[in-house]
Amino acid sequence: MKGERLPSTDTIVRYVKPSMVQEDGNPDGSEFRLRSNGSDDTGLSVNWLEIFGNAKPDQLANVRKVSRLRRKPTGRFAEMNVGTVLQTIGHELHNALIVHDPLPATEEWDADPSHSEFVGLPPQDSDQALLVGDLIAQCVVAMHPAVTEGEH
Amino acid sequence: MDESSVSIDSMSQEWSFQHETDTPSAIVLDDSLRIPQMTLYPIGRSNRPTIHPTIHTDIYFSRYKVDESVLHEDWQTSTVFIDRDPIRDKIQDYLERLNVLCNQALEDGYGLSGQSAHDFLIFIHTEHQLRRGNLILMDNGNLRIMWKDEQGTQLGLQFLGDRVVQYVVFKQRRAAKHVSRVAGRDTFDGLKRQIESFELKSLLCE
Repeated sequence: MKGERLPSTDTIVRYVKPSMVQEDGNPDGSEFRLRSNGSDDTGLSVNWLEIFGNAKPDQLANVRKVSRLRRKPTGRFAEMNVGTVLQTIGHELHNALIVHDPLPATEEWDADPSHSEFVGLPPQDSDQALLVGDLIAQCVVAMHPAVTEGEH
Repeated sequence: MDESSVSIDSMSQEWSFQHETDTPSAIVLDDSLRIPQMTLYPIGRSNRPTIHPTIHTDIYFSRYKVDESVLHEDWQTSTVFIDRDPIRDKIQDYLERLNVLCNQALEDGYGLSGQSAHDFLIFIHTEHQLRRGNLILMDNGNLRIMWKDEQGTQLGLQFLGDRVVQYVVFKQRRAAKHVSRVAGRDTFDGLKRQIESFELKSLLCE
């Protein structure tokens, strides 16, 4: 349901642009900060995996299917546990939440029932935003291809 | 400064990067925007720096071999020495990474900030003893470099321009279970003091 907090045991993914993937394959913390324009100005867009069942390949396939981002072959989905990431950044932030924000279908796009938002993050270009971003990056447990073979 | 080192004498001119339209994978430095002077200390002549405005930028910033016909005999010796310099290899490595990042960013609809690139290049020249870091290009056009170790200590630097960096430090203290965290902005000189106060030399230095 829209606005509902995601269960702490569940997992989310966030698309990481190729130029913000570090050379060791990990995401840079700057990916996890709010932006001054676009869809991440008030909350960070993420996808809730468990909405698509419990099998990881199916979850990721569905996220790729409904994603409205211009994903690149060298882009990655960074996977995190909801509870872990909120607990980790809780040392710095007290109001951060990850809430369900499903997107309805449009003429151009299918509905995205997995879309969720990371809200309560620091202002976009603040020093704290980057510090929190680096904390979030430390919670990433896996990086998945954002595009599968044959998709593009 | 030892005999093998190269220093940048003047940084008053602005640099910028541009992409060649016919070879989008290449980063080129506009001739008019090159560093005006660099000082090379030839082997055995460290007390007599010689200035040559053109050659040294080529040594550092192009992938093309230096035209040795324009070099004085002493310079040839120096050039060979510098050509094998690990510092140069590290900078070359960074430039290749920069090239990849620029192409990736262009595909995503953004570019590299000239001011950020300018500061980054100055930084890696003046702090060339630092270990090679993880370099990324943020979608605001700024470069960010990160060093981290297995213990949870890390330093991230975003090059904001005007020789100011935004730093994020996570420092695992030996005597404490918790990690000290701090973020802020400082000049290059101020950053050195931060590095010392957070005892980050083992993280950064080879």
